Amino acid sequence: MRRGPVPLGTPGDGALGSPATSRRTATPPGPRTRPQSANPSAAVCSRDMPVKSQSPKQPKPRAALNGAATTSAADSEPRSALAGGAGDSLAREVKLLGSLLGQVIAEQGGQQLLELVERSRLRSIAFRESGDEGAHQELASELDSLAIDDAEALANAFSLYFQLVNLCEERDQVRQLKKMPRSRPGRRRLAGRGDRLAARARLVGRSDRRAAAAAAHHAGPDRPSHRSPPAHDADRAAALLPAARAARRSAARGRRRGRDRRKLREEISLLWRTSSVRKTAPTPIDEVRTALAFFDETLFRAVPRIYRAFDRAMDRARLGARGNRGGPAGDLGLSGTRPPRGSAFLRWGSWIGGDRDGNPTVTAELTRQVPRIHADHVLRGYEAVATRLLTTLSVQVSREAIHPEFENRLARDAEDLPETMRDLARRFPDEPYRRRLGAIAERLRRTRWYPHRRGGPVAGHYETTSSWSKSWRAPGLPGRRTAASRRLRRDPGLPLAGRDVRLPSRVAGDPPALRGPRGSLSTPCCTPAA
Amino acid sequence: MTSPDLARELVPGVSPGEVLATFRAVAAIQRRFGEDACHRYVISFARTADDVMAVLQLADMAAGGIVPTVATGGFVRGQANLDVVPLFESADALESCGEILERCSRIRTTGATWSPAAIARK
Repeated sequence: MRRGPVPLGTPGDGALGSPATSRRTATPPGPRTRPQSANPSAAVCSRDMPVKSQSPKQPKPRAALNGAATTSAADSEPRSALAGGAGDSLAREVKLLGSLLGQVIAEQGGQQLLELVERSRLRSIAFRESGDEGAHQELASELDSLAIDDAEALANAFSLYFQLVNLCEERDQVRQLKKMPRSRPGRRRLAGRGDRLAARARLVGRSDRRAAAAAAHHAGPDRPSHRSPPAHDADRAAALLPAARAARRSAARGRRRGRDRRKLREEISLLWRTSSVRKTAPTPIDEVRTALAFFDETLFRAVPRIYRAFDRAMDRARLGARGNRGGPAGDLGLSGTRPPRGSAFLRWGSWIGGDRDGNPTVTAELTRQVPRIHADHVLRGYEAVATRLLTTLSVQVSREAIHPEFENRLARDAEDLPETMRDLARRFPDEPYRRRLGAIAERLRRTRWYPHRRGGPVAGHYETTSSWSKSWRAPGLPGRRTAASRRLRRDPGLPLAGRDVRLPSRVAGDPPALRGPRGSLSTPCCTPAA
Repeated sequence: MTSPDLARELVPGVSPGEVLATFRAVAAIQRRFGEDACHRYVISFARTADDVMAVLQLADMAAGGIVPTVATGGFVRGQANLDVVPLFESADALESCGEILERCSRIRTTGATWSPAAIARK
């Protein structure tokens, strides 16, 4: 914990749950912070601004949420969108999360800990804002006398608080970006990419298969792959913020707001109880599994939206004024009624499990395992999609109306998966789509088992890219939903991400060391030109 | 070639046998999941074109029968299609990277794949 001229924290309105606080957001010190001039919250808490040590309107005391210890903490929770005069979204969110954290600290660590946190915070504020040496001395003296457990709890409290503040700032940056006019370079880059790709595709008369974007996960102690579980959990809390904001703004506030805030409290409680320090070094396999969480957020959530936006842009490029009179790209109602206009142009890469530079625990065996782990993960995702469609696609189709090719596939399913198809035929006699999707789910399950040859039968698994693609593209399958899910990834056999192998030149660049005494590498595969 | 050569550690934890096993692992991945699954071989702190050539030679060795399976931890021989990507991470290498790439572009391959485009992508 830092002392001296850099404060431990700055005031927050209701932050950390105390009603007797000033109405400021926090300035988190340390490596997780951003420069004050670069973010709105820093502007809010600039030391040049006057400080109000106490809110003019104290919220009325109300019943404790979780016992008497949380009473004062709960009192500080903002009740409405503009509670406490917090006029901007960032300040509101910081205020909300800060007050919820205060409740969690009081509940989990006790009222004394909350009071210690508040005391430390207010003293650091006093020192920072007015150069109060007395407050500084008191702060230093109390910190010096803390028991190690209390010191750890105090550090955890501030660490989590700043984590939540950073999270709010990240969300605020996204909001600011969305507000930017399209003419601004940053916004134009984001918004125009799909249009430019579409225009290029139009020029070449087809979807441009060469247009590809690649993103790679790197491995290393400073890389996202090493993010600790708390950081990931913070992302989960971030995902709940929009719901909380919507609830605050909605007319039907009472019950929804309570539900959303309860979820946020749950998330913050989990964060509080999650260790921020690993006691054992993560293994490369741990890194691989951690990175899968990022793929879940990107590959399974963002990518379908990107492809759909691209598809809309392609419609606009193709139909032009006839489509929507040259207006902004919108959903023309065509996606899902035809195959996707663009190919899967996003590529994912990862060095995790292949980067051996300075990491002798990355072995050839590990490199071979990682694609299997990725494949297993993505296949589970597809399986879930197929199963979900199985439960919802309850369209009844008469036998005469079934496309012959679709019927052939059902017949093939019956050959490859007799037991599964018997069961599906009994459950869904007049719903062929359900039977087909059940077969696809079973085939995906068997494809997942196939590399290990255990867990169940593997007959009927998908062997190649084309067998998988054809399965989804089968005529007769309704396109709207299956098209979107098909494009999650183009191949079930492929792992989630392409893999790079990396070795230092001092290893890879030393073939003479591999030569026998007489130079058994007699016919090198490549020779430098003269 | 003798096994002791393959077991000797080049750097802590990495022996020539392990390096060759990595090439064979890449080949195994490509056989099972396709070439896209793993095809880039990055050489960190590359200094000369010889570094690139060495990787291609190693890939060729791993593909052939000259190295027994037992010396590579049970990985059988296999040809991996690789894009070899030198990373220039030192001032000297960066200053001479044009010359290095020029030399790389004149490497003639007969076995493993050498893709100058990989450098451009980097």
